[in-house]
Amino acid sequence: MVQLLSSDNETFTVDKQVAERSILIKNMLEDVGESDAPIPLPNVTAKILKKVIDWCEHHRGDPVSQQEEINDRKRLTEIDEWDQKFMEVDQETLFEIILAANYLDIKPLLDIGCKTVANMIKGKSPEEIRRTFNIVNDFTPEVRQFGIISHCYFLAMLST
Amino acid sequence: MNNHNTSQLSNIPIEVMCMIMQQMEIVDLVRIERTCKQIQHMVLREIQKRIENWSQTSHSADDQLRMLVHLSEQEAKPCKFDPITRKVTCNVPMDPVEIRLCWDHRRQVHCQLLERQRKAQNRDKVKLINDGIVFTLEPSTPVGQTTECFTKGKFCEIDAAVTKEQDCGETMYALKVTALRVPLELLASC
Repeated sequence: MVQLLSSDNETFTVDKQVAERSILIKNMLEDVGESDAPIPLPNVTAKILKKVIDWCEHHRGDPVSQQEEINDRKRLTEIDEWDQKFMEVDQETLFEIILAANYLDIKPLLDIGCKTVANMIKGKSPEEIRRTFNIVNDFTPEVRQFGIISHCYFLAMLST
Repeated sequence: MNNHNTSQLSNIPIEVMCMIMQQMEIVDLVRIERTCKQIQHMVLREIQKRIENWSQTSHSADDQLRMLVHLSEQEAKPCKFDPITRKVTCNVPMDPVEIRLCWDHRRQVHCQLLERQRKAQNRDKVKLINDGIVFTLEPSTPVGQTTECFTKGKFCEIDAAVTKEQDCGETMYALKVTALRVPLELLASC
Protein backbone atom coordinates (compact mmCIF):
# COMPACT_ATOMS: atom_id res chain seq x y z
CA MET A 1 0.00 0.00 0.00
CA VAL A 2 1.05 3.59 -0.64
CA GLN A 3 0.12 6.76 1.23
CA LEU A 4 -0.60 9.94 -0.69
CA LEU A 5 -0.72 13.36 0.97
CA SER A 6 -2.93 16.01 -0.60
CA SER A 7 -2.15 19.76 -0.60
CA ASP A 8 -4.64 20.24 2.25
CA ASN A 9 -2.92 17.56 4.35
CA GLU A 10 -5.35 14.70 3.89
CA THR A 11 -3.79 11.25 3.62
CA PHE A 12 -5.10 8.56 1.28
CA THR A 13 -3.99 4.94 1.43
CA VAL A 14 -4.16 3.19 -1.93
CA ASP A 15 -2.87 0.04 -3.62
CA LYS A 16 0.56 0.46 -5.16
CA GLN A 17 -0.82 -0.79 -8.50
CA VAL A 18 -3.52 1.91 -8.38
CA ALA A 19 -1.10 4.67 -7.38
CA GLU A 20 1.26 3.68 -10.17
CA ARG A 21 -1.27 4.66 -12.80
CA SER A 22 0.41 8.01 -12.14
CA ILE A 23 3.80 8.09 -13.80
CA LEU A 24 4.87 10.84 -11.37
CA ILE A 25 4.07 8.64 -8.35
CA LYS A 26 5.57 5.56 -10.03
CA ASN A 27 8.85 7.41 -10.56
CA MET A 28 8.81 8.80 -7.01
CA LEU A 29 8.27 5.30 -5.59
CA GLU A 30 11.17 4.00 -7.66
CA ASP A 31 13.33 6.87 -6.39
CA VAL A 32 12.55 6.50 -2.66
CA GLY A 33 12.40 2.68 -2.66
CA GLU A 34 10.67 0.94 0.28
CA SER A 35 9.29 3.67 2.55
CA ASP A 36 6.15 4.21 4.62
CA ALA A 37 6.38 8.00 4.36
CA PRO A 38 3.37 9.56 2.56
CA ILE A 39 4.07 10.97 -0.88
CA PRO A 40 3.34 14.70 -0.88
CA LEU A 41 1.23 15.98 -3.77
CA PRO A 42 1.24 19.75 -3.20
CA ASN A 43 -0.66 20.54 -6.40
CA VAL A 44 -3.69 18.36 -5.73
CA THR A 45 -6.42 18.98 -3.18
CA ALA A 46 -8.08 16.13 -1.25
CA LYS A 47 -11.33 16.57 -3.19
CA ILE A 48 -9.60 16.15 -6.56
CA LEU A 49 -7.17 13.49 -5.34
CA LYS A 50 -10.15 11.39 -4.23
CA LYS A 51 -11.68 11.70 -7.71
CA VAL A 52 -8.37 10.79 -9.35
CA ILE A 53 -7.96 7.76 -7.07
CA ASP A 54 -11.54 6.66 -7.94
CA TRP A 55 -10.61 6.83 -11.63
CA CYS A 56 -7.36 4.93 -11.11
CA GLU A 57 -9.20 2.25 -9.08
CA HIS A 58 -11.71 1.76 -11.90
CA HIS A 59 -8.98 1.61 -14.55
CA ARG A 60 -6.43 -0.35 -12.52
CA GLY A 61 -6.47 -3.30 -14.94
CA ASP A 62 -6.34 -1.29 -18.17
CA PRO A 63 -3.47 -2.22 -20.48
CA VAL A 64 -0.77 0.41 -20.71
CA SER A 65 -1.01 0.39 -24.54
CA GLN A 66 -4.31 2.29 -24.24
CA GLN A 67 -2.28 5.24 -23.06
CA GLU A 68 -0.64 5.61 -26.46
CA GLU A 69 -1.76 8.47 -28.61
CA ILE A 70 -3.66 7.51 -31.74
CA ASN A 71 -4.11 10.47 -34.01
CA ASP A 72 -7.65 9.81 -35.14
CA ARG A 73 -10.27 12.52 -34.93
CA LYS A 74 -13.03 9.91 -34.83
CA ARG A 75 -12.04 9.31 -31.22
CA LEU A 76 -13.76 12.56 -30.30
CA THR A 77 -16.99 11.07 -29.07
CA GLU A 78 -15.44 7.80 -28.00
CA ILE A 79 -15.47 8.27 -24.26
CA ASP A 80 -16.28 5.20 -22.24
CA GLU A 81 -19.71 5.40 -20.54
CA TRP A 82 -18.20 5.15 -17.05
CA ASP A 83 -15.71 7.90 -17.90
CA GLN A 84 -18.48 10.09 -19.28
CA LYS A 85 -20.33 9.82 -15.98
CA PHE A 86 -17.09 10.38 -14.09
CA MET A 87 -16.59 13.64 -15.99
CA GLU A 88 -20.12 14.87 -15.26
CA VAL A 89 -18.87 17.43 -12.75
CA ASP A 90 -18.94 21.20 -12.52
CA GLN A 91 -16.50 23.04 -14.77
CA GLU A 92 -14.15 24.02 -11.95
CA THR A 93 -13.79 20.37 -10.89
CA LEU A 94 -13.35 19.26 -14.51
CA PHE A 95 -10.41 21.64 -15.02
CA GLU A 96 -8.91 20.70 -11.65
CA ILE A 97 -9.05 17.01 -12.67
CA ILE A 98 -7.35 17.88 -15.96
CA LEU A 99 -4.63 19.85 -14.19
CA ALA A 100 -4.16 17.07 -11.64
CA ALA A 101 -3.92 14.45 -14.41
CA ASN A 102 -1.33 16.63 -16.13
CA TYR A 103 0.67 17.09 -12.90
CA LEU A 104 0.42 13.42 -11.89
CA ASP A 105 1.19 12.35 -15.46
CA ILE A 106 -1.86 10.13 -15.95
CA LYS A 107 -2.13 10.31 -19.73
CA PRO A 108 -5.44 8.43 -20.22
CA LEU A 109 -7.22 10.57 -17.62
CA LEU A 110 -5.78 13.73 -19.15
CA ASP A 111 -6.93 12.49 -22.55
CA ILE A 112 -10.50 11.93 -21.33
CA GLY A 113 -10.55 15.37 -19.69
CA CYS A 114 -9.34 17.03 -22.88
CA LYS A 115 -11.90 15.12 -24.95
CA THR A 116 -14.64 16.21 -22.57
CA VAL A 117 -13.66 19.88 -22.99
CA ALA A 118 -13.35 19.43 -26.79
CA ASN A 119 -16.84 17.94 -26.87
CA MET A 120 -18.16 20.90 -24.86
CA ILE A 121 -16.77 23.21 -27.56
CA LYS A 122 -17.87 21.13 -30.55
CA GLY A 123 -20.43 22.80 -32.83
CA LYS A 124 -20.74 25.96 -30.71
CA SER A 125 -20.46 29.50 -32.06
CA PRO A 126 -17.78 31.80 -30.57
CA GLU A 127 -20.44 33.51 -28.43
CA GLU A 128 -21.77 30.19 -27.15
CA ILE A 129 -18.22 29.10 -26.29
CA ARG A 130 -17.69 32.37 -24.38
CA ARG A 131 -20.90 31.81 -22.43
CA THR A 132 -20.04 28.17 -21.70
CA PHE A 133 -16.56 28.92 -20.38
CA ASN A 134 -17.14 32.44 -19.03
CA ILE A 135 -14.66 33.97 -21.47
CA VAL A 136 -14.51 37.76 -21.75
CA ASN A 137 -14.43 39.04 -25.33
CA ASP A 138 -11.34 41.29 -25.24
CA PHE A 139 -11.08 42.03 -28.96
CA THR A 140 -11.20 45.68 -29.98
CA PRO A 141 -14.49 46.80 -31.53
CA GLU A 142 -12.83 46.96 -34.99
CA VAL A 143 -11.60 43.37 -34.83
CA ARG A 144 -14.93 42.25 -33.36
CA GLN A 145 -16.83 44.03 -36.14
CA PHE A 146 -14.63 42.47 -38.83
CA GLY A 147 -15.17 39.03 -37.33
CA ILE A 148 -18.93 39.51 -37.20
CA ILE A 149 -19.08 40.94 -40.71
CA SER A 150 -16.97 38.20 -42.29
CA HIS A 151 -18.84 35.48 -40.40
CA CYS A 152 -22.22 36.93 -41.38
CA TYR A 153 -21.01 37.34 -44.93
CA PHE A 154 -20.24 33.65 -45.32
CA LEU A 155 -23.41 32.62 -43.53
CA ALA A 156 -25.35 34.85 -45.91
CA MET A 157 -23.57 33.39 -48.92
CA LEU A 158 -24.34 29.88 -47.78
CA SER A 159 -27.99 30.63 -47.19
CA THR A 160 -28.55 32.07 -50.67
CA MET B 1 -16.68 46.15 -18.13
CA ASN B 2 -14.03 43.91 -16.63
CA ASN B 3 -11.73 42.77 -19.43
CA HIS B 4 -9.72 40.38 -17.28
CA ASN B 5 -10.35 36.83 -18.35
CA THR B 6 -11.13 34.63 -15.36
CA SER B 7 -12.09 31.72 -17.58
CA GLN B 8 -10.39 28.48 -16.63
CA LEU B 9 -10.20 27.52 -20.29
CA SER B 10 -8.16 30.58 -21.27
CA ASN B 11 -5.89 30.22 -18.26
CA ILE B 12 -4.90 26.57 -18.47
CA PRO B 13 -1.26 25.70 -19.27
CA ILE B 14 -0.36 25.82 -22.94
CA GLU B 15 0.55 22.11 -23.06
CA VAL B 16 -2.93 21.16 -21.81
CA MET B 17 -4.61 23.57 -24.22
CA CYS B 18 -2.59 21.95 -27.02
CA MET B 19 -3.95 18.54 -26.03
CA ILE B 20 -7.53 19.88 -26.06
CA MET B 21 -6.95 21.46 -29.47
CA GLN B 22 -5.63 18.18 -30.85
CA GLN B 23 -9.02 16.64 -30.07
CA MET B 24 -10.87 19.34 -31.99
CA GLU B 25 -11.82 19.57 -35.63
CA ILE B 26 -10.55 22.56 -37.57
CA VAL B 27 -14.09 23.98 -37.81
CA ASP B 28 -14.23 24.23 -34.02
CA LEU B 29 -10.69 25.63 -33.84
CA VAL B 30 -11.72 28.45 -36.18
CA ARG B 31 -14.72 29.20 -33.98
CA ILE B 32 -12.86 29.16 -30.67
CA GLU B 33 -10.15 31.31 -32.22
CA ARG B 34 -12.55 34.26 -32.14
CA THR B 35 -13.42 34.04 -28.44
CA CYS B 36 -10.57 36.05 -26.87
CA LYS B 37 -7.00 37.18 -27.55
CA GLN B 38 -5.29 34.67 -25.29
CA ILE B 39 -7.06 31.69 -26.83
CA GLN B 40 -6.56 33.15 -30.30
CA HIS B 41 -2.82 33.30 -29.70
CA MET B 42 -2.74 29.60 -28.80
CA VAL B 43 -5.20 28.42 -31.45
CA LEU B 44 -3.69 30.20 -34.46
CA ARG B 45 -0.54 28.08 -34.15
CA GLU B 46 -2.58 24.88 -34.12
CA ILE B 47 -4.63 26.06 -37.11
CA GLN B 48 -1.41 26.86 -38.97
CA LYS B 49 0.00 23.43 -38.15
CA ARG B 50 -3.23 21.70 -39.19
CA ILE B 51 -3.38 23.54 -42.54
CA GLU B 52 0.29 22.94 -43.32
CA ASN B 53 -0.23 19.21 -42.66
CA TRP B 54 -3.55 19.12 -44.50
CA SER B 55 -2.36 16.83 -47.29
CA GLN B 56 -0.95 14.31 -44.79
CA THR B 57 -4.19 13.87 -42.89
CA SER B 58 -7.45 12.33 -44.05
CA HIS B 59 -10.45 14.60 -44.45
CA SER B 60 -14.10 13.87 -44.89
CA ALA B 61 -15.89 15.20 -47.96
CA ASP B 62 -17.40 17.84 -45.67
CA ASP B 63 -14.00 19.38 -45.02
CA GLN B 64 -13.02 19.62 -48.67
CA LEU B 65 -13.05 22.96 -50.39
CA ARG B 66 -14.10 22.69 -53.99
CA MET B 67 -14.43 25.22 -56.72
CA LEU B 68 -15.83 25.54 -60.20
CA VAL B 69 -13.47 26.91 -62.80
CA HIS B 70 -15.48 27.50 -65.95
CA LEU B 71 -17.87 24.66 -64.92
CA SER B 72 -14.99 22.29 -64.24
CA GLU B 73 -15.06 21.13 -60.60
CA GLN B 74 -11.72 21.21 -58.83
CA GLU B 75 -10.54 20.48 -55.33
CA ALA B 76 -8.70 23.20 -53.45
CA LYS B 77 -6.27 21.81 -50.88
CA PRO B 78 -5.32 24.12 -48.01
CA CYS B 79 -1.54 24.27 -47.70
CA LYS B 80 -0.57 27.52 -46.01
CA PHE B 81 -1.98 29.85 -43.38
CA ASP B 82 -0.95 33.39 -42.62
CA PRO B 83 -1.85 34.19 -38.99
CA ILE B 84 -1.54 37.94 -39.63
CA THR B 85 -3.87 38.26 -42.62
CA ARG B 86 -5.78 35.15 -41.43
CA LYS B 87 -5.93 33.90 -45.00
CA VAL B 88 -5.71 30.27 -46.01
CA THR B 89 -3.85 29.53 -49.23
CA CYS B 90 -5.00 26.45 -51.14
CA ASN B 91 -3.33 24.60 -53.98
CA VAL B 92 -5.62 23.78 -56.87
CA PRO B 93 -4.11 20.76 -58.60
CA MET B 94 -5.87 20.86 -61.94
CA ASP B 95 -5.31 20.39 -65.64
CA PRO B 96 -5.76 23.61 -67.59
CA VAL B 97 -9.29 24.36 -68.73
CA GLU B 98 -9.40 25.04 -72.46
CA ILE B 99 -11.54 27.86 -73.77
CA ARG B 100 -11.75 28.00 -77.56
CA LEU B 101 -12.85 31.15 -79.32
CA CYS B 102 -13.71 31.47 -83.02
CA TRP B 103 -12.50 35.02 -82.89
CA ASP B 104 -10.30 36.54 -80.24
CA HIS B 105 -12.26 38.84 -78.00
CA ARG B 106 -12.50 39.86 -74.39
CA ARG B 107 -14.03 36.93 -72.55
CA GLN B 108 -15.04 36.58 -68.92
CA VAL B 109 -14.53 33.25 -67.16
CA HIS B 110 -16.43 32.71 -63.94
CA CYS B 111 -15.13 30.77 -60.94
CA GLN B 112 -17.24 29.74 -57.98
CA LEU B 113 -16.47 28.25 -54.62
CA LEU B 114 -18.52 25.21 -53.68
CA GLU B 115 -19.39 24.15 -50.18
CA ARG B 116 -20.67 20.75 -49.22
CA GLN B 117 -23.55 20.86 -46.78
CA ARG B 118 -22.71 19.38 -43.44
CA LYS B 119 -26.16 18.25 -42.35
CA ALA B 120 -26.58 14.51 -42.75
CA GLN B 121 -29.72 14.74 -44.89
CA ASN B 122 -27.96 17.14 -47.29
CA ARG B 123 -24.61 15.37 -47.27
CA ASP B 124 -24.30 15.07 -51.03
CA LYS B 125 -25.57 18.53 -51.82
CA VAL B 126 -23.29 21.39 -52.64
CA LYS B 127 -23.94 25.08 -52.61
CA LEU B 128 -22.34 27.83 -54.60
CA ILE B 129 -20.64 30.58 -52.70
CA ASN B 130 -21.10 33.54 -54.94
CA ASP B 131 -17.95 35.52 -54.33
CA GLY B 132 -17.96 37.14 -57.79
CA ILE B 133 -14.62 35.79 -58.97
CA VAL B 134 -14.16 36.49 -62.66
CA PHE B 135 -11.15 36.13 -64.92
CA THR B 136 -11.05 38.31 -67.97
CA LEU B 137 -9.22 36.84 -70.95
CA GLU B 138 -7.74 39.76 -72.82
CA PRO B 139 -7.02 39.70 -76.57
CA SER B 140 -3.78 41.53 -75.75
CA THR B 141 -2.43 38.38 -74.02
CA PRO B 142 0.77 37.39 -75.88
CA VAL B 143 0.48 34.24 -78.00
CA GLY B 144 2.59 31.23 -77.01
CA GLN B 145 3.40 32.48 -73.56
CA THR B 146 2.07 31.67 -70.12
CA THR B 147 0.92 34.75 -68.27
CA GLU B 148 0.44 34.82 -64.52
CA CYS B 149 -2.73 36.57 -63.49
CA PHE B 150 -4.59 37.41 -60.33
CA THR B 151 -8.19 38.20 -59.57
CA LYS B 152 -10.27 38.62 -56.48
CA GLY B 153 -13.86 38.50 -55.40
CA LYS B 154 -15.33 40.12 -52.35
CA PHE B 155 -13.18 38.05 -49.98
CA CYS B 156 -11.40 35.33 -51.97
CA GLU B 157 -8.40 35.72 -54.24
CA ILE B 158 -7.19 33.50 -57.06
CA ASP B 159 -3.85 33.16 -58.85
CA ALA B 160 -3.89 31.60 -62.29
CA ALA B 161 -1.77 30.95 -65.34
CA VAL B 162 -3.21 31.71 -68.78
CA THR B 163 -1.65 30.40 -71.99
CA LYS B 164 -2.88 31.64 -75.33
CA GLU B 165 -2.45 29.75 -78.59
CA GLN B 166 -3.72 30.60 -82.05
CA ASP B 167 -4.21 28.13 -84.88
CA CYS B 168 -6.00 28.66 -88.22
CA GLY B 169 -7.82 31.69 -86.91
CA GLU B 170 -9.07 29.91 -83.77
CA THR B 171 -7.86 31.17 -80.42
CA MET B 172 -7.40 28.81 -77.52
CA TYR B 173 -6.88 29.96 -73.95
CA ALA B 174 -5.70 27.43 -71.37
CA LEU B 175 -6.63 28.61 -67.88
CA LYS B 176 -5.12 26.95 -64.85
CA VAL B 177 -5.94 28.18 -61.36
CA THR B 178 -2.80 27.74 -59.30
CA ALA B 179 -3.81 29.06 -55.89
CA LEU B 180 -6.88 30.14 -54.01
CA ARG B 181 -6.77 32.33 -50.91
CA VAL B 182 -9.78 32.36 -48.63
CA PRO B 183 -10.46 33.93 -45.24
CA LEU B 184 -10.11 31.58 -42.29
CA GLU B 185 -13.81 32.07 -41.48
CA LEU B 186 -14.71 30.13 -44.61
CA LEU B 187 -13.50 26.93 -42.98
CA ALA B 188 -15.98 27.43 -40.13
CA SER B 189 -18.95 28.77 -42.02
CA CYS B 190 -20.38 25.44 -43.12
